[in-house]
Amino acid sequence: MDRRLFLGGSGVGTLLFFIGSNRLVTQTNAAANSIPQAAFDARSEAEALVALFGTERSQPCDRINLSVPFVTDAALGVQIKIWSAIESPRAIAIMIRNSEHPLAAFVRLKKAQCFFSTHLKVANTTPVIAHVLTVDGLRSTSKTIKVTNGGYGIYAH
Amino acid sequence: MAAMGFTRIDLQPIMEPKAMNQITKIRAKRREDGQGLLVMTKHAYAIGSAQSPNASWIEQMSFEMNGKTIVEVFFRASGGTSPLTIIAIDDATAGDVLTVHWHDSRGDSGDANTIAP
Repeated sequence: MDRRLFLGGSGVGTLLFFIGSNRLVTQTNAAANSIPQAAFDARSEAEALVALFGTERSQPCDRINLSVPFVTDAALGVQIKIWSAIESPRAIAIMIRNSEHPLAAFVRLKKAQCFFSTHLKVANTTPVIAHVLTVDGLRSTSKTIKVTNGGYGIYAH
Repeated sequence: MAAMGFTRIDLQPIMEPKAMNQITKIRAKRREDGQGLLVMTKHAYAIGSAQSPNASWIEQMSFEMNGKTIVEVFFRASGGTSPLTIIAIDDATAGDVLTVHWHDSRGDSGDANTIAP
């Protein structure tokens, strides 16, 4: 083969590979920053976990703390707080199990502590599950919120 | 109707959606245990289920420190009015610029920033 033709062809090939790989990286980043719509549209907890993390296996972990009120009213937002001493947390997913679409909030942690607090609404008595993605895998903890008429009542865990 | 003594009344929805995306507050303070910084944001938006045509909720909040994204939060329509969202960050020093970008289900967006104490 002609030397010039060979060098020219390899140069064009390298250029095309470079452009292609850059495009691939850009697409991956865009996907990482976009809303996980498939997970939010999922109708079961397992389906949402697979859409988010690629697995539905989540091991219970007592190092994750979840704070929710025992009793609430359906019309009120409840304060949900999750914190843990787990090192290098990557993501937190809050699931409301009895909801039509269980995934209520998803947090992608890039350079932050394992701490998240927000207000959410629950319509019925339901377990609330916090899944935390760590370097060791998926860990979870859960608590039940009882929804009563007017938010009154005594409920012991 | 008028002949019967009634007058026609245009019924207004009981709960009008609030003026959306008017308020976004961001505040940072040191944690009581000294381990990092709490970043708190508050945002007024209408309550609604995802099925309601008037529903509006924050879909995404991105927290940045000195221009670099540190936390991204995604919501479904299950929040209350003026939700208080709190995150905690480790290595912030006094003077760092903390910014929150948000956009909601109607396509509105905005940002707010504060300085780390």
